[in-house]
Amino acid sequence: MRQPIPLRVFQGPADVGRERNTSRPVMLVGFQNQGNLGLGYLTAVLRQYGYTAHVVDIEQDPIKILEIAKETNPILIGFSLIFQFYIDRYAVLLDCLRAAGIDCHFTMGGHFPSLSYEQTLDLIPELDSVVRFEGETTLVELVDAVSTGADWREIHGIAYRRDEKIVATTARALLDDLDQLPYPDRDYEPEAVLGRSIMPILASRGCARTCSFCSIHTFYRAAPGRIVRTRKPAEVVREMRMLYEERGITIFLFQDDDFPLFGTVWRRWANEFVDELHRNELPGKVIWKMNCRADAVDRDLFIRMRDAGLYLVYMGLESGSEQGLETLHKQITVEQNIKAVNTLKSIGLMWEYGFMLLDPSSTFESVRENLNFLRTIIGDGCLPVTFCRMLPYDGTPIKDELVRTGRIRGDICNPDYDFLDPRLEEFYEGLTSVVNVRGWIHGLEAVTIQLSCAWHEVATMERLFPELPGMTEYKDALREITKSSNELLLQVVEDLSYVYSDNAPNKWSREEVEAQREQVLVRLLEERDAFVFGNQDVLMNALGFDEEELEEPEVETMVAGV
Amino acid sequence: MATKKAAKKRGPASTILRFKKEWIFDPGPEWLRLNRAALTRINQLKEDFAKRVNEVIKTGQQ
Repeated sequence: MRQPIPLRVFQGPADVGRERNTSRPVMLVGFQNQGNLGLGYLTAVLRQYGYTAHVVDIEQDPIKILEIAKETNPILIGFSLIFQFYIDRYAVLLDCLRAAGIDCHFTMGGHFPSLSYEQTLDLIPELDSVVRFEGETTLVELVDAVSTGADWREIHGIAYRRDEKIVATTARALLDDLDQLPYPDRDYEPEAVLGRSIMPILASRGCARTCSFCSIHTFYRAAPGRIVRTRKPAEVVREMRMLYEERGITIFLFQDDDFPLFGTVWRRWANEFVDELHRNELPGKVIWKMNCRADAVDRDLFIRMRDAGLYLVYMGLESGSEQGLETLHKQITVEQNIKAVNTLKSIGLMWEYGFMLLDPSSTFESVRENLNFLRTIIGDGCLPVTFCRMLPYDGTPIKDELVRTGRIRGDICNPDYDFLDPRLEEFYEGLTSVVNVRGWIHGLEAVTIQLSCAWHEVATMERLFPELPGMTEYKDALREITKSSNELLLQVVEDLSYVYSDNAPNKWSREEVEAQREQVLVRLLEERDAFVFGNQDVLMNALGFDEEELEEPEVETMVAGV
Repeated sequence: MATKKAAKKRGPASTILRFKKEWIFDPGPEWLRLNRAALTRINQLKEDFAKRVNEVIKTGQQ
């Protein structure tokens, strides 16, 4: 049995003999689904400085959040805004908290507040300050000052109101050494797939690329310091080993903006990471997912990573047209995107992708190019269709360009833009009226979500469970369901594009498309449950359950077909 | 139609092996919220409502 791995202690600039009063706790409110590493790091650092930190999920009822605030009487509440379109929800919450007498310091962090601090303070008058960019050091300094009654207005890295004006103090440099940080607090029950526990983790921060629709690079470039910082491979693996040994985590989801792979230095990093996983005997025990660009996919390196537990690769492919890739400033070609997909397929790695069917440069021709691209990469049924419409978020170059050319529409919660061809707006609205987009792609019950989940389970069963009888047949069935639903959805979208570009007759009704969608879901669940519960003894034994435990009373009977 | 044979869920397996799609779900902005026609309709309804309220107040004051 290994000894527990000691946690490291953050030795940041906040350490230098400053007074603090830790008698009152700090409350952090943010989105908690899949674990929130940002809040986890902030909580861990606060606790190291002696503060009690309570993390509260923004998805809870505001009344419940108010009750927690009243009960814990925090010295400061920090609000984490991950999604720009949640700002109205935060505005309502802060108004509710203030109206109910919560008079502590309110601050907010995240990409949008960091880059658009003036708008944030205007939109949420209850805020006392905004913590800009990476918040670990700034938040501790802010809490120290507020807790001792010291002046917090000169702290670096914040913005606030002064005499009817909004001022920002000197921007704080990004942390140079990420290994200074303690491991993020993960004081919650992890999610699980087929009984295998999942945990998010980070190997780096920052992104060196400059995609026009993304605010990540502007977030990191607006602050002083190195844009991309990687942790030491040994430190990352040490954290994984600790989570495996102490909490039984076997599935790690790397949340890096762009996993370090590209170029000589990061390729060396990736190889060292793989070596370190082998040194710690983790391959075969744990699996991991990461996000990267298509041009970082290298056959030899990915075979090494696959053999060290890599099971899923997410790539932001974003467009299947050269014009689209140019507009999005992806600095990649359609051919490179296809090559990456083919490489991953050829070495048996599961992959996922982000894709924007519509962007500000879209034409009917580019929409059809995109549909053909999707047919090329997923026409075989290896994955479900997914796509969205590009949204012009604050802090992105593409939003600035849309503002400059007078095409921006909507508001912060509903950012929108005019297409160059107005018929595309009609097509978009026609598409949303015929296709239940939440039911197909974006909702919790969506076909894409459910098919992706089934494919995740397959990858998990293949990598973390003994060989299961019938797996080949199950995968064939799943591929057939995925393929037919992909064909249907892509055909509907293509046919509708001709309705709006060429006045072609509309062959599809919402009722018909919905009926077919429901059939897909019924078939999927039927196949999935038959396979998983047909193998439940093997699966449960692999999870450590013995025969006696498995003989507990039956719960329900599966649907039987005729 | 050919379908699958029944399989009985036993004991804790029914919970542990349940089809859990929640963990994979990432809440993005809803497409329908971005439907400009819907937003225009809502804004029009809001304006109409405000007008009616003002008319009621005006009538009451007279």
